[in-house]
Amino acid sequence: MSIPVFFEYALKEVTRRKSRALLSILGIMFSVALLVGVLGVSQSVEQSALQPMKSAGADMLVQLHGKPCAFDTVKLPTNLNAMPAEAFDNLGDNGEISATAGVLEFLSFKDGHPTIITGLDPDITNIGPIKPTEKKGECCEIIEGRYLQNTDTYAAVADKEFAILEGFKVGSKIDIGEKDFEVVGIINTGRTARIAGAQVFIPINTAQQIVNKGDIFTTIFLKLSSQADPKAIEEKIRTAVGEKVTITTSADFLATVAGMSAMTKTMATGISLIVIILVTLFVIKSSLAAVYERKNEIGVMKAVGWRDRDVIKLITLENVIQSLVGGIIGCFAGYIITYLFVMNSNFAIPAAITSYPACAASTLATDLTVTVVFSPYLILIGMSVAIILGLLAGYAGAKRISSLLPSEALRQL
Amino acid sequence: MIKIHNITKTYNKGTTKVEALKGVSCSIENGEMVALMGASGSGKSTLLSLIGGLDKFDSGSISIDEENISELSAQKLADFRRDKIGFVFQQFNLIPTLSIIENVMLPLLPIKMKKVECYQAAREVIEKVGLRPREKHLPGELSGGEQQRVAIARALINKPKIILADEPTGDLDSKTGAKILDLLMTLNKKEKVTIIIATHDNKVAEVAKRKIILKDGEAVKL
Repeated sequence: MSIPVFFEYALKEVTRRKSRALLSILGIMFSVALLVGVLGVSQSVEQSALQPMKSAGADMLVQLHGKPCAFDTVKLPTNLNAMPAEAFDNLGDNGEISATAGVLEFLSFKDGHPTIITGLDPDITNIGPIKPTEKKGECCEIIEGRYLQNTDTYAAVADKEFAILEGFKVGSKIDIGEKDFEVVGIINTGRTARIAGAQVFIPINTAQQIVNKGDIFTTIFLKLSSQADPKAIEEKIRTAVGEKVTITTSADFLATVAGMSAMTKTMATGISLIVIILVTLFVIKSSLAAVYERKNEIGVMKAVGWRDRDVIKLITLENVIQSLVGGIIGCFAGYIITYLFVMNSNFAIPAAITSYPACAASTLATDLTVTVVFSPYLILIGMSVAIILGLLAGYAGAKRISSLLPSEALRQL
Repeated sequence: MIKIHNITKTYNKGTTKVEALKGVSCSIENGEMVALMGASGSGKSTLLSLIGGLDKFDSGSISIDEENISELSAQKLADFRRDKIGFVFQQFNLIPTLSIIENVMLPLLPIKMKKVECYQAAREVIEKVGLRPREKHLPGELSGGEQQRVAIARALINKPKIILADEPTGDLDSKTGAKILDLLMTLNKKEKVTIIIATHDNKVAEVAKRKIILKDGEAVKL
């Protein structure tokens, strides 16, 4: 068979029956756009909303919410109570937890203005609020000086925005809890909300001394190993820390930040699939109607020596051409849906997770960067759905018409 | 040689059965030009479609060059039609969106053939029916006679041994019809193509060397 000529014939048939082709293309486009849009939105929302968890390298956050006691010069954030560090000592013993980082967030007041401080372990950089790097433009680039070391005591790393506001440079002194800290580095955390983000980062041991409540943490970051059972770990934590402990997993975080639970995602995908099934039925019906309109032509083709499979190939090819057009437009429309939805969405880090005082000299960013995620995988799904739909519709129509005897298709003879 | 032996064919028309052919037997020699004559409903079109393998008969046999077509599978029958038979219909049956040359090439599409060869073969037969300057036109831009010539070109592209023409001049005026008959006669004489024309028109039948007259599904004159 001369493929180029065959393709030309199929293309001509599609362009000839403009209204029918347009209907099929619109149907395919609609279903592809819906599916790709739903998947695109969910991927983008997931990516944007989970950013704080991903950048912290954690699967699970442990916090104890409540109203802490007031301090003279330092106090814990409004919503976070202290958790004893020893409660987490044995959690990772059976290999279910691959990394842990405990941080102590507190507010240090001077002249009535709070500074947001996070005490962290300088040696743990793979999980937690800060992943120091020398790489330009990446979080968290050390733009001046150095990062904290485990030998540091009254050393501090200031966030770039805060340092600019307060005029801090490397070597400057910061008063935290009536102690002088030396700024050893300036770090750029970007203007994206971070869990346990702060204006100043100091070593955890020093932070615990200043807060003076013993070895405590306010937030624990946990990275689970692949074989870990999150439910079992949650139970262990509740036993160790108490029933009032708040455990936030990535899924909880997504539901809290974006209002997108696994169920809403499944429902949206389910609705898309139902629409695809309905559109498939519509396109099959349209394809059947289209081939019956061409019954006489099919009869001529068979009379001049076309085999059933040749007729099936031509009609299926015509439908695949329509599907490709519908699929391409559908993917594009899906991208537009994703873009419009995601760009008009605002995601902020939940107040319950990081409670920043509004009266701070410079508030930390609470908004999350919203990015449109439109991967080749989505295009692959969209085009696959379109082509499968076209093949099904084309084959259904072609099979039925090709089974007719030429004389049945040709009324004239 | 076409041998038709005791062919019967019944159609279901609603709840009633219509006997279109009641044991027709006849034979047609290679290179003959035969007119199948009879009134409307006499069974001539049915017989033509059975000879061309477009329909199935109830009983009897049709063999063409010693090949019994009732024993052929659907695929083999399609190949048989493509290789041995050329059809010319009363209403031309050209595909309106395809150009003349594309319509003529239609039988070649199922064959493994290069595009350039398809075009070359199509041009040769279009030349033969005198429509080369109009090869890029659409059927709708041609007169009835020209469209029928295109249909003849399409029937000729595979160099068939037999052309089955069902009322080929039925939709044409007498002058144009005469030209089409001339063309068919030329093909019969020069290329020894067996031509069977189904017609109820005596003028058309006169060009044939032999007439087979059908009446109520039976051959009354061979």
